Amino acid sequence: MTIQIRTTHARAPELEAMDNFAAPPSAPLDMPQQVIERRDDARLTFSSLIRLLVPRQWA
Amino acid sequence: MRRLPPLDRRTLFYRIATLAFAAVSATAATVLMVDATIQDGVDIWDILRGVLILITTAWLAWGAAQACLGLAARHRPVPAPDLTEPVPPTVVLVPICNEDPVSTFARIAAMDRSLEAAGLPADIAILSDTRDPLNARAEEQVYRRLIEETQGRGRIFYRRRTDNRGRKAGNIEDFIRKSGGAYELAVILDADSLMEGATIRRMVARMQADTDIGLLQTLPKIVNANSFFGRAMQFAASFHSPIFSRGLARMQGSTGPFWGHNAIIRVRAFAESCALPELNGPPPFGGHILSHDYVEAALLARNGWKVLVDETMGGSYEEGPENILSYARRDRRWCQGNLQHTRLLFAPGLAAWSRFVFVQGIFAYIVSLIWACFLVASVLATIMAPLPDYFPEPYQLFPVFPDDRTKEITALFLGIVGLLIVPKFLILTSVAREGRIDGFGGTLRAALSVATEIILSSFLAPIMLMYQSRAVIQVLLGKDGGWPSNQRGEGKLTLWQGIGAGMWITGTGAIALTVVHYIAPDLTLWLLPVCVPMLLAPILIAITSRPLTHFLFITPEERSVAPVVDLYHRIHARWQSENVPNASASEGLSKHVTA
Repeated sequence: MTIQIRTTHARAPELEAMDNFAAPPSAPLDMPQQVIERRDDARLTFSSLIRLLVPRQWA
Repeated sequence: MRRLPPLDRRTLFYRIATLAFAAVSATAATVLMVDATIQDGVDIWDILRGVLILITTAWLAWGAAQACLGLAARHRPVPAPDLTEPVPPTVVLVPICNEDPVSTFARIAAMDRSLEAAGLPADIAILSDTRDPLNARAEEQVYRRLIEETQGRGRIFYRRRTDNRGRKAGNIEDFIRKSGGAYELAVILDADSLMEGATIRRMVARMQADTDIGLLQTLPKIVNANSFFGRAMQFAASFHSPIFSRGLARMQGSTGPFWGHNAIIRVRAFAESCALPELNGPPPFGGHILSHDYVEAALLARNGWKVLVDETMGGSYEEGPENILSYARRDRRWCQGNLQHTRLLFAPGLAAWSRFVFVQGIFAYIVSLIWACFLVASVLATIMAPLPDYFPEPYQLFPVFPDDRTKEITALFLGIVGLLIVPKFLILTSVAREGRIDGFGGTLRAALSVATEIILSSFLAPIMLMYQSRAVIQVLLGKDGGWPSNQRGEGKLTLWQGIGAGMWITGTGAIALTVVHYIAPDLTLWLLPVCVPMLLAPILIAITSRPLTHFLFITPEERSVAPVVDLYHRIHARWQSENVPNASASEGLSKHVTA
């Protein structure tokens, strides 16, 4: 998060730290990492071809 | 475990009909081509040309069939349910990276006011990946002005990452991991997106009414284009795209697309489905997933969430590239991202249609290289063709002349051109019949705009072919294009810039034409439609980046400016006149640190 530090310059405006109002609410949510690659994905096997052609609902 | 609803018969019929049309057209083109080329015997070039014309025609016919399907399906706006209490907590996410903060934040101010007018309480979070400290400081200053303008304290947030892991997808993922629990729905925008508050309200209501929807995509219209090229794209996006999108929407069922912005997601669905891993190995095929939106749509569908597109929902806007070079730069990134999807074709559990969408995305780029190979193969086949044998039999009295196949080749040429332009004229008649033609300047102007757009795209097609072929070759050779920042706004190019960027295309065209003229003069005429635009590439690049005329390419969004777009223009003009980001604010910033 960005924090601004005020100068001692006489003409500098009083800037409130961004953290006081800019930060989104803290409400963590779990995001499990997805598996989208397999080791054998690069090889076009007969079964992978069948999986490709047959919609999941029909399998 | 959630599962998508089974494929309904109508969607299945649309898919089969479209595929069948593509297959029949491609077969017809191949038969014509093979019949014409085997007159002097079968050789490897004939087979190669047959295969290449089969693939390229199938691709063109697929696009044409999509348009025809869109024309056949009636324009039926999805009945909009009304928002009910309690309103789901909603956030509008605006990921940015080295953008002009005045323009971007003025858009946010306009949308905030539009949301208020629509009576939809929603937070807005600006998610900055900007690395340049000066740009970041400007963002903070304009953010303060935005808060002042909108009284948005506690509603409009700004945070900047110092670790840009995962680029845009990682930026959104970071927000969801840290703040996603506070929201049920999130509207994802781009820095140049604009959406009416009423549209966002309708999207929220639709997500509220059907809790199986994981993502709802709108069709953004391009606005604020000024150059000839930009306005042609703006016109095409307004005139043709809704019909193509309608065809697409009919085919995809619940396995729709995500175009990365101007869409709403169910945060829980996105969180449980869309944390993307890095792919093994270095870029361009490994590393971060560049075209993450297609993958996220596929993963949502894999987890049983509906991914829908609603092309009837208005009030969704974006800006487009203003010149060919900006377009080609963006295309280079998309090309690498789509080719990276070859790694994901066999990802476990994906719906068959999601895999097919990946194949389409890959094809959108390699088809240019296939066309280039077809042209080269045609030239080589002519050069290497044996001389005609007029007396094949011994002691033959009369010569045998080879059959003239000019008619077949002409039919093939016209058929291919027809697949490209007939859908556009059918869309013209459809728009006229539906009474929407006035928005495009009336029948005459709309017809002239369609014709000019066809001529322009015919001239630009060989140039795009060269850029896309180069991009595909670069990716295949392992060259990473990175993620260059978008260049928005005015993009007027000088002739020198055109020469610098397009001279290699001119050179290639000149060499090809010279070689063909000396070695196979019969082919010269056939190659002119490809080579002449290549020779003119620098001029075309420069001239199309200029405004030229506003008589053509009128769009309804231009004739009647949407309230949120108008509001944006007014806020932007005011902030510019106020010299935002202003000097006094920057005086107070001697130093900023990031933690």
